[in-house]
Amino acid sequence: VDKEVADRSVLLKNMLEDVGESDKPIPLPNVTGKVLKKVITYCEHHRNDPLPQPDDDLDDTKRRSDDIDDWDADFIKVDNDQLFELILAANYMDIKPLLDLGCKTVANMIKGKTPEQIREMFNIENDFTPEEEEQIRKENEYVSLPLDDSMMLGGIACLLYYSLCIANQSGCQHYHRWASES
Amino acid sequence: MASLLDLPDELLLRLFTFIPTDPSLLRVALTCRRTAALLDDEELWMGRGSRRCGKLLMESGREGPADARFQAETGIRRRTKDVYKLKSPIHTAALLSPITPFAIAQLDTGHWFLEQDSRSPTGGAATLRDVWWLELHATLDHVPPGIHLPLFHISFSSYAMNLTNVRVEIECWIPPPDNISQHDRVASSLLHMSTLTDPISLATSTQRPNKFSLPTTTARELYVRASQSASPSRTAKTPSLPRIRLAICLHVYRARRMDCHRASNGVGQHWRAFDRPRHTSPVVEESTCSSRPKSRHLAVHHAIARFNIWAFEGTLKTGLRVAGLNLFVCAKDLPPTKQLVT
Repeated sequence: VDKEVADRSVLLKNMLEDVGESDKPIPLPNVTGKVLKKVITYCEHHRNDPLPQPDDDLDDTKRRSDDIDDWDADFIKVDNDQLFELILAANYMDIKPLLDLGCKTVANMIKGKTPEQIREMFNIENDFTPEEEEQIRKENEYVSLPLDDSMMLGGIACLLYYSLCIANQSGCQHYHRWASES
Repeated sequence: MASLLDLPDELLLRLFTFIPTDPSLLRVALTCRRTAALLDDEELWMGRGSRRCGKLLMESGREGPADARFQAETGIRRRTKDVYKLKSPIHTAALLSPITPFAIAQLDTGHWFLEQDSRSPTGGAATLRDVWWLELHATLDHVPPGIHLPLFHISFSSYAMNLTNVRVEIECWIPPPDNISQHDRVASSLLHMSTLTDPISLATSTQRPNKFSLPTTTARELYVRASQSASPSRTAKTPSLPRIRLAICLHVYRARRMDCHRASNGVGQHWRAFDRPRHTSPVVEESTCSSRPKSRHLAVHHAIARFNIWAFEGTLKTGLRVAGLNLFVCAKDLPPTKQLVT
């Protein structure tokens, strides 16, 4: 691996600076060969990207999960085991963009899922008592309706709206006028 | 099989910062005891709160008389999560965009400058030094499902009055999901609406708030346009509207003085917000549309809204300051369906 690629990892960059010019291999005891290969692929692809700044973490505008580019999206299509290993490796090797890519991927997988689906997807055991679960729901009552309920209400509102549109003659005229103008 | 819980706490917390909506976060909290405990983290809620209401508001929530009362009654200091709940309940929750992501015409030419401002709700402001016209725009992604009120934070110094008016424009569109066909993508990407206010007179701070209204655009027109876009082959005789619940309809704006940001010396510098009376129809709603003739339903979970502030009649030394904008969620103020139609 050339230095430019290795420098994507803050850990390796610091180690290389410490040891200076040397042909000796650098041990990475916490990363398996398979995952390291994947990490190198990522670093090679992003070798020319600007390095993340130390205060990037403070920038709230970067806390988005939908700004994954096509190559990254394809790269991160791995099973959960490998995804978690990649996150751990990125954290250990201090490669922030890769770490965030992994976190965003997991966050995207969570979006719109029920607790039961999240448990199933990520192999989480439900260790709540019914009372504890109820307590958490109570503490978070300020949160809006669960997705399914709100969508159901929305569907009812749409049906009402649709019926009113059909029934409202002036509305149809309005539509005709607009359609003929366009 | 690996579990999400194999990740250490610090990584789980980092991961949770990327979850955009509170309901999703609540669902994570409901999976097990460890995630529930992690989701009480102070920094996590300070970050979310700062993004929604501004850091100042979050910090002030822990230092004001209300907090002192809370501390006296309970003997403990209010948690950041509680401040977050207090400051952003569903009817007032807001997406806050500070000025920094705004694209500002002539920012780099000395006409505008960015500065820290402790009176600003966002902690900073863009100040217009001298220019004959101005144009700013910001785009908010991930506008979540719900009804929203945009709130522009603009202030004028006492010598700003030669700038006669500004106009506010709002565009809104639904990004097409990735996993749809090209046909549906075209149809979905056409769900794009915009509206523009009449010029808003920049009256003196002592004058009563002005009312101004949109010239022609109504909710119905916007719905119909979206309908037409979604299915261009439909004839005018069969105006079967798709199931769209996204609207951007700003019938009436009004200027409102924000007392909480009055300058201590009392001269000029009132933060002023342009908002809508709450009884008017919504700005952004969740959308679910069907794309005929295939009758495929596209579930859209968020919208993109773009806000423009511009004026073409100015003068030197305007003293206009823009701090940013809030998008207030007011889902509980759902207007009756009839109001959307008429």
